[in-house]
Formats: sequence, structure tokens, C-alpha cells
Amino acid sequence: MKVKKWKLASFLLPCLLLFALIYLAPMCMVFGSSFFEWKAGGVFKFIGLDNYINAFRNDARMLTALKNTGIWVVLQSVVHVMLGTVIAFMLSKRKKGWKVLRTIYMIPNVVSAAALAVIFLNVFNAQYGIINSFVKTVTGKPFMKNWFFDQNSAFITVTWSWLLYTGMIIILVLAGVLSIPEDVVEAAKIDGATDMQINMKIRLPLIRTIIGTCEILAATSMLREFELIYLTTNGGPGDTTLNLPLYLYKTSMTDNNYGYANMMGVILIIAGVIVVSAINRLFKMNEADY
Amino acid sequence: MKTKKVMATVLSAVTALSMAGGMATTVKADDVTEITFPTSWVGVSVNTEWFQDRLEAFNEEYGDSIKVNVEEIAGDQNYVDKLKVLYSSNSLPDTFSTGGYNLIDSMKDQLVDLTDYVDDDWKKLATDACWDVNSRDGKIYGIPYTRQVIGYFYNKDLFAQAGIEKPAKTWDEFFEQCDKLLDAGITPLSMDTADSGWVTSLMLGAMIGESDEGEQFMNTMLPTDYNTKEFIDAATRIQTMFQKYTTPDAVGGKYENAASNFFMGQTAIIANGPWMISDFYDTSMVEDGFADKVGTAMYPGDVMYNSGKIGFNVASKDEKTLDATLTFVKFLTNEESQLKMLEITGDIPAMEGLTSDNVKPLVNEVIANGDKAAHSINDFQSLWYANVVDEISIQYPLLAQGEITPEEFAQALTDAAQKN
Repeated sequence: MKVKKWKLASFLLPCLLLFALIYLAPMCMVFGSSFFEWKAGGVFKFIGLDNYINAFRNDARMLTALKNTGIWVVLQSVVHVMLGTVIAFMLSKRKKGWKVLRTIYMIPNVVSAAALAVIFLNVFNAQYGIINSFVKTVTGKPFMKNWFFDQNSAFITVTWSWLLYTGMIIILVLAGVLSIPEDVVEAAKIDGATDMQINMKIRLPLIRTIIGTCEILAATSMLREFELIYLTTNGGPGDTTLNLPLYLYKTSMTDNNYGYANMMGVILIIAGVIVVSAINRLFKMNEADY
Repeated sequence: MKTKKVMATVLSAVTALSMAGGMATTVKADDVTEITFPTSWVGVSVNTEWFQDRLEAFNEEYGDSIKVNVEEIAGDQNYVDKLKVLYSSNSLPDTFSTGGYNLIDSMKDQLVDLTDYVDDDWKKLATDACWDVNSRDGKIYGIPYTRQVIGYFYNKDLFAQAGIEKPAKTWDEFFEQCDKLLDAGITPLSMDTADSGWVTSLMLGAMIGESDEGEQFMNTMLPTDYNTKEFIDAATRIQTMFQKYTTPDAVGGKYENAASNFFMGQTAIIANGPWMISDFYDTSMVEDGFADKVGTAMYPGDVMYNSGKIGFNVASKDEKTLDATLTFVKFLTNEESQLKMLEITGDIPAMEGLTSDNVKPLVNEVIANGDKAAHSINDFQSLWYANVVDEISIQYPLLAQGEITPEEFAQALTDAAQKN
């Protein structure tokens, strides 16, 4: 059936308008104002690339935020996805209680970041936290590690608050593994393949695009991560746990330096595009296998 | 197929209509002027009861002509952040009160210069110090309603257990008392680092304000250099306090943790203002009779926070709403409202000599301490740049753990201040 073009346009127009108003226009404003000195008090002056040059030449905190963001993107893409995939493969054996385990793994994903932050602050509390109490019980000696606010442990403690909670990855990978046609696996078994060989050479390649999707979700979640850091360490101690979204927020909200904050917004958008494109290429996301 | 077409058309029309609806303006009666007032005086805020009482009274008197649209935003920091977002889009509400946070300097280009509207009668409702804090270059940008009078509270029972008879007169004596408390198995100080590290920073400011130079620094608006002898000496003492005299949860802890430790009798001293006094009588927080155990004190060197406080800022964009807003602000800052605030919250009125028989005795003690102080200083949240206040909270843990020196701490705040 041939649909008239004006009809198509009239149906698409509201959505296009919404997209333009809510995403496109602000993004253009962010991009444009990143070339301005724009501060509270009415300061608004074109300065070309100065914000970008200052960020990479003179702003040590910016470099720390970029480094931390990069490390978290890599950790989340590698460790988080790998862990989720392994657990999903184990659950796909459908041993007794696999549905309960699947649900338990999802719990951190359905709890709000604010509640999670409070939970973690209590779990890692120096005075009465469960971790310190456990160590004290095992060793029999007083143990007062201030996990979130000790410079040596803050980064790993913040990382802990998301790295191991792989519920979303498990759900996606598990759905992929369970949808692989059984006859493919049967054929491999008849040819004498072991379980490990079937997993590594049949199942894993067949869910390549799903793993790619997980990689995109995991990596971009770290480019957006804000609440848990803000509500636990606020980027501290010093700038130990500062990442780019939090630095952007502070630059905008406490320094009132909107132009510089928008420069960081542009860098985040560019980083997002690069990460997604790289994962798309690496996992050949446009090619289907079955 | 026909049904699908109809449904699609309806959905498309609904989307378009909802967009149009979002753009539409509210139709309101000509004789009622609407004004906007976002507030953090909600929930557990100490000012909630006072504000509800005043709003009700205002609506009774002016409800026919002025409608106050109250937006509730829980938490002071969330409130300030929301105002900054509104400022950046040139859409500040008609009036707001930040409870001490200084937004005048960063927002005064969008605030109404109130100088011409404040007549002599209105001026009498606050001390000169209060008007000074709310003015820039001789122009009034805020209407004060309370003063800051802040010392510290101590637990008399715990002091007695440690053999301490009265609060210290010098900082050396103060630290000797801390040692005595430690020897008696009592943690001396409630401290915090999160948010602005309020309790800790009050101690820091009081130490700075002990000398004449320090007092001047603590009354300087928006300082940009913290590399002063007074500041570094005070930071050194704060480092000692963190390392020796406070609870393990102080580093990373919020005001609530510090207060809770004091309420539970786990610490002997907490720095804070008289608004905390109502909590000493609240048996959901403390044991019955706790208030009788609490004493008030000036900081060593007879230092007190004794200053004006940022009041209501106005940002109405036309004369009609400005008139209505000023009526609302005038009502909330009049003598009756200030007196109610004293009685309900214990906050000290901006107007001199305004007292009540219905306040808790500890409030009068704090006011008396303020009158006796040899050094009167202003608090850091009113004076220092917002990003410096934020920087404090992320640098305190490093200072506490000896990862940075007091000199590096001072430099970090200087660097933050100079970004402005």
C-alpha cells in the first residue's frame, strides 16, 4: 500500500519537533556556548577554543576526571560485562533455583541510586559498617577503615558500588543464550564438543551482537554515572573519585562557569560517539549470524 | 485497518495537543496576583512549622489579592542547586530565601535592587549589620529576618565526669579539656566533612577569628586568599581534632551524624546555632531531660558568630508581581513573624531587642553570649564562594588523614576561590 508523503510527514512531525526541542536545540546550545566564556553575573564573551585548550593544558582536575572516567568505562566494559556473561552462562544450565538467583542479581538494578548510596555508606561506614565489623570479628582486633573517604580505598570502594552488580547484563545475555536454536548445540554435541567448547565456539559467537549491546550499555553508563558518586564521596577525597559528569555539574552549579561546563558536555558527547562506534565495529553489530 | 488509522490519527493529535498544552499559559483572575516561592522549609526542616503558620496567616490576610505558589524542595543544597539552574535560564522565582547561603554575589544581575522600597520603618526591623550583609555597593538585595549567633554546646554531665568545671577560655585550655575527656573515655568533639562540613567549619572559623587579623578575615566578603597565618594555624588545629578528638565516622560524615553523636551522649561538644536547641527537647531524638544536661559556650578567645544573615531575595519581573512579592516578604519579616520564628525555631530575630518569654532558656544564653563576645565573626557559608564551601568538604578527608598539609589545604581553597 502506498502511503502519501504528507501523511507520513504529519505523523512524524510531533516526534521530530519534540526531539528538536528537547534534544537537538539544547545540544546545539551546549556546543555553541562551549566556545564562550559564560559565567554567572552576566559574563558572556566569545573565546574560541580557549575552554578546550585550558582544559587539556592547565586543568589538572579535568585530566583526573577524564582519567577516572576512562578507567571506569574500561572496567565496566571488560570486568562487568565479562562477569555478567559468565553468570548468565552458568544460569543457562537451568540448575535448581536459577530463576531465584536471576531475580536476586537484578535487585541492585531496581533500587534507586539514592537508596543504594545510603546502603553503601552504611555498609562501608568506619564506625559501625558491616565490612569493618566482619574484619573485626575475624581478626579479633579493632578495625576502623574509612573505605569511602580514605584516599587509598575510595576509588575501589566507589567502583565496587556498581562493578559487581551485573543484573542487566545477565538478563540480556541469558535471553540470548536461551534463544540459540537447540539443534545447533545438539549437532556440536554429536560431533563430540565439550561444554566449554560449545560455550566458547558456538554460544558465545552466536550472541556476539547481544554482548555488543551489553558493552554499549555498560560503557555509556559510566559516561553518565553521577548519582552514586555525588551521594557517597562527592568526588573526594580531593579529586580521587571525580569523574567527568560530576566535574561538569560542579563547574556549572558551584563555580557557575557554564561555558566551561558545556565544553565538558561536548567532550562527553564526543566520547560517547567514539565509544559506541568502536563497539559497533568491534562486535560487527550490523551483521546477523542466524 | 480503519480502526488502526483512526487510532494512529488520535495518537498523533494527542501528542500534538499535549505539546501545545505545555506551551499554553495559565489563565488567572485579574484581581489575584500570583507569585512564586520555592522553599526548603518542608519536612524535617526546623523552619517548617514557622513557615506553615506564617503562610496560613498571610493567606488569611491577603488571600483575596495575592496567591503564593509554594514549591517544596527538600534539603538546603538541593534548593540552592535548583535556584542556580533557574538563574542560568533567567527564570528565578519572585522570591526565595536560602537560609544563609550567599547567592547575592552570583545572581545580583537578576535580583531586584530593593533600596527604594525599604523605608525607614522597614529598616528598623533589622540591625545595621543585617542590612549590611544583604547589601552590595550601597544597594539592598535581600530583606533580613534573622541574625546568626552561634557558639558551641557541651554536655555538662560528660564535662563533670572528666573533671571539667567550665568551658575553656583559650584554645590551649580547650585542647587540655579534650585530653581530659579522652582520659575519661569520652570522645570530645562532634565533627563532619560532608556537604560543607558545617560543624567542623564553625570550629575552623572560630579559631581563625580569635585574633584581630583573623576576625577581619572572617568578616571579609568572598576572600580569595586563604594562605594566611591565622587560617593555616586553624587548619592545623582542625587536623589535630580529626586525628585525635573525634568519632571515626566524622570523616565523610554529615551534620546529622555529628548531631546524632552529641544527642546520644557519645561526644561532649558540638558547634552549632540556637536553632538546634529545639532538638534538645525533642524526645524522639534525645532522652528525656537531655536539654538540662546541655550548656552553651563562647568559643575560646571570647569569639562568637554574631552577624547578619542573608534574607529574602526578590527577582520579580514586573511591577504588579513585585508589589505582591514585597507584601509577602514584608509579612514574613515583620516583627510578629520574627517573634514567631524565635519562639518556634529559636532563631535569633534580625530586629534588636526582640525577646520573648516563650523561648527555651538556652536560647537566651546563646543571645547573652553573643552580646558578651570580644570577637564577632560571620559564618563561612555567607561569606565564602560556593565552590570554596564545596571544596572544603572534599579536602577535609585528606587533611584529616594527613594526606595534605594545612598549607596545601589553604592553597586548595585559594585555587577554588580564584576560579570565580
